[in-house]
Amino acid sequence: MFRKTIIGFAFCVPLLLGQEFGLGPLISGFVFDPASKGIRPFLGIPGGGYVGRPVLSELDAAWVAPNANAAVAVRGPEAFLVRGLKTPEPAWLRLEGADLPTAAAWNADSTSFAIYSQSSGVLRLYTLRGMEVDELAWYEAATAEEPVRAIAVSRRDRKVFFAREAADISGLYLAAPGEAPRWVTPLSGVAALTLANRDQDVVIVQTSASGAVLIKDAAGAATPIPLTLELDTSSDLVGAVCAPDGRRLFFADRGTRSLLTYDLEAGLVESRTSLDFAPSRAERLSAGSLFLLTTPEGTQPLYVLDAGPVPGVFFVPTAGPAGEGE
Amino acid sequence: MKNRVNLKLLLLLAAALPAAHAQNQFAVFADQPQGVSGIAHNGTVNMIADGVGIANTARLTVSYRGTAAATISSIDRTGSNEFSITAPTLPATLRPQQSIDITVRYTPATGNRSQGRISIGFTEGVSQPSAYIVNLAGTAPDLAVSYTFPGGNATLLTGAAPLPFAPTALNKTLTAVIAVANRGTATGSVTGVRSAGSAFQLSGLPLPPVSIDPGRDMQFNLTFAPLPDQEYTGELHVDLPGRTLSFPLQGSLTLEALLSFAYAAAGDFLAVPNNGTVSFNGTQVGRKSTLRFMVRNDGTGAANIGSISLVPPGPVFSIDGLPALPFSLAPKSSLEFSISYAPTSLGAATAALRIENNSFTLAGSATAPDPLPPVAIEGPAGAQQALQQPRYTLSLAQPYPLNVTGVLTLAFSSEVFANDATVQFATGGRSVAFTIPANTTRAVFPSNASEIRLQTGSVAGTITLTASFATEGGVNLTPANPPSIALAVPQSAPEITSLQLGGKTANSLSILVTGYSTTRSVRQMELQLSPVAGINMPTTRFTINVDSAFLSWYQSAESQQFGSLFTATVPITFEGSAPSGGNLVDLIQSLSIGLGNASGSSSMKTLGLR
Repeated sequence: MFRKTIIGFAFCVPLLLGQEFGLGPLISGFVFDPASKGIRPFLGIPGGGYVGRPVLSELDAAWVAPNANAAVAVRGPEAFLVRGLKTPEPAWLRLEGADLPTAAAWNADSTSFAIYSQSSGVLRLYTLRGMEVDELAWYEAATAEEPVRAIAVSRRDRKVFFAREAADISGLYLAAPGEAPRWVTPLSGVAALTLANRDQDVVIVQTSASGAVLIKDAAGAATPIPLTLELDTSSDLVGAVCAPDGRRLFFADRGTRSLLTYDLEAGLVESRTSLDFAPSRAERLSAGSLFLLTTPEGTQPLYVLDAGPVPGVFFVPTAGPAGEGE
Repeated sequence: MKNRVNLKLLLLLAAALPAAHAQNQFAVFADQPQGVSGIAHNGTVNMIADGVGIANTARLTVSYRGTAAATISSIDRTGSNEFSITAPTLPATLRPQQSIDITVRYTPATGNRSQGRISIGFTEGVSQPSAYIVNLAGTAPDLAVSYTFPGGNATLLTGAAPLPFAPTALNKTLTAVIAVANRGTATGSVTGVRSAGSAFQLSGLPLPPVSIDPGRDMQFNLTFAPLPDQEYTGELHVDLPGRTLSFPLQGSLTLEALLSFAYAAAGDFLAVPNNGTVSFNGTQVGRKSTLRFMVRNDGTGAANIGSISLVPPGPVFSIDGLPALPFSLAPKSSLEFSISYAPTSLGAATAALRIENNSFTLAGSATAPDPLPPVAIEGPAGAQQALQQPRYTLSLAQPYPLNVTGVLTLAFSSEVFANDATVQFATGGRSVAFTIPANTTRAVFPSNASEIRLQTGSVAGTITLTASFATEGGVNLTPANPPSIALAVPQSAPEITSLQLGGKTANSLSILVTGYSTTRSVRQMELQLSPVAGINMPTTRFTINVDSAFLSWYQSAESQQFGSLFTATVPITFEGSAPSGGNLVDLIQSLSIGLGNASGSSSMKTLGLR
């Protein structure tokens, strides 16, 4: 039997000093704004937030980690890992030897990321180790003429799934540390990838009204399961995300300006929600349940999906804080 | 032979006769219109004609005053053929005091001086033949009529062709200066000047008769003044002694356009001169007043209208119904088009209407537009939850005929002395522009949206939406009591939106608590620990006073950006020892946290740890 354990609770002293009990700003995530060439914070939460001024500027591209602490950034001909986005002085680390990234993807726990360069066709995988970043692997994944279309990185085992359009070998590929990339399954017209079922399955979103396919156990048996999405002929899927609880997939349909909610367990569309806007993406904004459905554009609000227990689509004003008497 | 003796001759005899020897036996007298004069041997008879081609006659009486007898054997004329004589039959014998008459006729062919001689050959008794010489001198006026137009040269009128007046416009005149010049050698006389033809008028005539000395002239004006429906021919008559010089006159009408202008708002047209004003009655902003403008050609020739324009070209004033330009407006016809005045702002407005070289001022005065129909702002009102994004529409009760612009403004009145920067429209900020197209009722927001959303934020207070309206030209249409709608975020207990595990060690946890408190006040935190099965904890529920910590946060400048949102980092450290040397934290199955303030307490939020 367990010896009874008396657990005390030592909390009061730090609390009274106010040193460890911290109250601070609420930043739901960061988003790259191509117009301002900066990484801008989402201050607050859906329903009570807005996109603030850039914390980093003069960037040509950026991909922010879900934990909102780091980002892969491109400035000029160089690629960097920037850490401490929420701090006054983020730290810049040049990614030596990396070709100019044209795409990047973080895994959901922000511990690894992959960058892809279309000019070289090389895919590089990095992992964060403390304050250091290690290049785990690089792969000659594609050619400039037949590039990689989408990338996803798993959490624990840091597998990289990518889709490539090629004349004879279009399909989903898997690259694992220490292994050469291997072809998983044929497919074409890939718009986006997302991982589901604890990153064991890959959801492939196909362009136009082609629909989506779930590759079950993508690193193993790789069984393709077409998803019945009841798409309209005008549908144009731009991305998909998996809810944190793993029970639902959300598909953004630019063509019909709607969001499809797909019940993975039931294997059918649970609902179709009309949107006030045309979604252009479906990508993780935060480590929680927030996903981006659009990119900042002028004075148009940003739209995000909260894929929590009560899913909802929210706008996020992009003009900064509203002042007194404005 | 004549034996006439008259007193006149006798009186002259003693005074006049020179003392030539043979010739002295004769006495010659010239009887002319101007009187009788003795003509000595080699004397001169001055004959003055009235004009070229007009004969002047003198009668020469040759009397023998000797005592014997004289025989006139010859009478010869020499010199200018403008002189001619009529003499008696010769030879003619004259007894004392007998005479013969010689008629001398002078018909000048020109106005020049003429000369001639009459030689009267005679013998007296047995004397040698001799001759009595009478010289002839003829002069005549030569009146020539000429005309000169302004800027032109003098042109002789001969009568063979009419005096041509250049084409002249109706109601215009053309004047020629007529000169009667004496190119001759004797004074001429004009006894009268007349004109025939209603289109021709004389002026500047001196009182007749007018004597014109050689080398001088008489001038007067002859004016061609055409009127409609006239004959444009006539005659000029210059009366001279015994004759009239007549000259035909010929005028013609210039085919010229004669434009006049008029406008009509309703009913009859009102004439408007060049540089005149065309006035529009008071017109409401957003309405349009139209009048007809007429261009009439009362001339004799077509008017070529190449340009009709407005300066400025619009939009307040506009033209409609123009024909294709250039347009040829025939005589006795008119052209009509419409001019509209559609003011977009109050007050006066002007523009210039230009038709060829004519200009007219268009003047309008705008009055206030019709008031807006009732306006409704529709959407959630009254008490609302925090962190909501409601939708609002704005509409008119009836369509309005003008395009309307407006601004929907959001005002936030905090109940807790703090602004909430997140309270704003989806488009950013606290005001958003909209339009209501004419003849519609719904406001259109940016991106052509029929509704606008806003965030209610997380601070207790009242959000009031009000709208203002104006015409496109800026005329205020906002009702005296502008439409508004109010929604309120009430003061309430704190809410926890999420619990996350921030970090974990063997004996400590860091919990991230995200939430908000519309009163911007959190006083206590409740912490409930749930150990794993089989583990007993002496205390599992803890109440922590967090009032001062939250007060510091809410008083900070940084917190102003977030309304009442916060992220609290809650460190929890465990003391004790775990069975089998495991981690203390692994003995906690889950924890729940709740927050409270004066308005109440939140529900407990649970975070599973295993």
